[in-house]
Amino acid sequence: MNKLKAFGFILLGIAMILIPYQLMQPDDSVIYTDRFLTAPFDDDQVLITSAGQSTDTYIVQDAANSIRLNNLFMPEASSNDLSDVSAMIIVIGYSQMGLSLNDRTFSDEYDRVNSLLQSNQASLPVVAVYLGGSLRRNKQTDQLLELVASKSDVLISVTDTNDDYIQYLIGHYDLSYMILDKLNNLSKPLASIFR
Amino acid sequence: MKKSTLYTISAALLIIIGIYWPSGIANSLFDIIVHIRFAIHTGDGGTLITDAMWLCVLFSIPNILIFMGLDLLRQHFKVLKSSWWRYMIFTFLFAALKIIPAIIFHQSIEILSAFLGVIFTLFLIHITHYVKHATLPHVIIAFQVFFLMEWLNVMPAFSRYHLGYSDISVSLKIASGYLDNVSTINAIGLSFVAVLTVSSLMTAIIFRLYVQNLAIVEENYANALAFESIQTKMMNNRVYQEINVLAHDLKTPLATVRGLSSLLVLTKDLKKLEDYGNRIDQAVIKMSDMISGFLYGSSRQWTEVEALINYVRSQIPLETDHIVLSFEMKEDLPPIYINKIRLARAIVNVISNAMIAPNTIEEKRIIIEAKAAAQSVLITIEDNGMGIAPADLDRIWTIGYSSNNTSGLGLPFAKQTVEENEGSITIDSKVGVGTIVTITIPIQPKETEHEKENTNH
Repeated sequence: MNKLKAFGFILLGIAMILIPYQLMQPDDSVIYTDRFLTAPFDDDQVLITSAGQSTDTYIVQDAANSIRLNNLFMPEASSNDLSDVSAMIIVIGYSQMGLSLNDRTFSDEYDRVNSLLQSNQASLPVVAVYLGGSLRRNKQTDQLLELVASKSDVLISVTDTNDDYIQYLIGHYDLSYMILDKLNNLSKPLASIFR
Repeated sequence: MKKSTLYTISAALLIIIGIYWPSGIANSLFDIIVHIRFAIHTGDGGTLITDAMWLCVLFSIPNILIFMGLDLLRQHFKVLKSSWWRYMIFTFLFAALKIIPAIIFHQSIEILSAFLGVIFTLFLIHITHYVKHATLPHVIIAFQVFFLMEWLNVMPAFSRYHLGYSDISVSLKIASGYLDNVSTINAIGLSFVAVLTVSSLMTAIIFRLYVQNLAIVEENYANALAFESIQTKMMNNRVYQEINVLAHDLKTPLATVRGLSSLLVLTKDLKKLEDYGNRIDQAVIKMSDMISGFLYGSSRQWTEVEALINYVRSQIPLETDHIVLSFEMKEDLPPIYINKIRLARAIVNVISNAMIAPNTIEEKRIIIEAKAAAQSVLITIEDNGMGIAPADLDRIWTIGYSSNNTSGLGLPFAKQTVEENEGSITIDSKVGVGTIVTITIPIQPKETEHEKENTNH
């Protein structure tokens, strides 16, 4: 057996041992927040919109519905849609497929979100939600994160051991925040944020 | 169309389809996004699993197509020998054909899993050791490997290894995390990965065994052809030996003709002249028959058994003190339709074998008997030699086989000659007792007067 085959078989053997072992390791489980809201937000009607058109927006909608949070779900909300809402939840996550489905480009989406935030004259509370962890991190998502975090009051995110960027945003914009260990616990921070 | 052109066109088509595929399946990918949204809304984790499988199929197909296109080109340009640098070039070309179109056409691809897939596939192809055109096995291996690699993209457990970072894979994993479906997708994905890894390995190993067996069969076939060629040459040499014997036998009637010719010159008696002329004529006829009998192996005439046996007696090497030959012939044996010259040589070969076969007692007795049986004439050659072991009996007709340091051609020649005369030859032997060779010649009905005129006395 020549060296190439021997090397290949050794790699395969290591992979067949390591992979099941890794899969059996428990996920990291961290919940922390040390910047609490002074008071919960009014929950008359909360606008749930997207920044990037990812499917994560639908997760937030489902979580909101599960706690009977009165919400107006408009992934492509514009400044005209702010009149009857008491707060905004903006779900950040760039999705090329999501934008293509709505026949939009990234710059269109950025402009829409920027306009939405700029037209928030009533200073409605803004909750930024980022559920993508390190998976959705890319240049476009970071731009949207920066944009939304700069105008937000609270950031909800998920734990990710390599995601220092979220920590940077929290510190830089002095945000209250909640970091989730598991996505299916999303309803809890939403329930605590909205009365 | 030339084969080379067909190969090139097929390879180009496969590569082009593989490059365009991610752009062409946009609607299918949109459907998956819609299904993910639906699954989140309904809490149906099963939809995510179905979409995961469908995504694996959609993302593995372009990899398989591009790989097959490059593999066809590799086979066509005969770049089949395995080496590090050839595999690296192949991998580099594959990566280029994935990355460049993705950048130009803004396609969603999973480059890391595709890269791992091509490396593992090349490794398995290397195991097969196949150096000729082998499209189908490569397709089977490539399909299994690339499909299992795509499962790594949709399993949340492998995200930590930077696998599955395309838009849809990420959406699928995040949605499965929300629906608490992570362990289910991991378990199903691991099942596919484990099974397909073993299956692709087994495919490569089985194909390698097939290649080895094929090589052995080809080698055996070549050896058999060479052996058959040698056997044919040996038999041809045997025929030349028989021709030598014939040439030797022709000297006797030639001597007769010469002697009688010289007498013709000396005598003036008309009766003697007539007698000498008749005897010269008979000698010439005899020579003509001998030559015809050998030139035309299939040429047969009606022959009395006694004439055959007498001809055999004239051909036998001289008896020694320790070998006693006896001839026994039943009366009223019917004539047989044979080539007398060649059949006589066949019988002489059998007798010669009996003469040289070792024996345990001092005096060897060889009995040649001719008798009638049902619809046939039996000519038996019986000796009191050492006999032939049962294991050797099966091989005794094989060209080149000999237990007495002879050429091993006599008995096969005899068998061939007897069968040419529609007869059969069998050997019955007991070790320590002796051997009986039985030549059976069928009695044919005499159909025409013309055939009767050919009866040779």
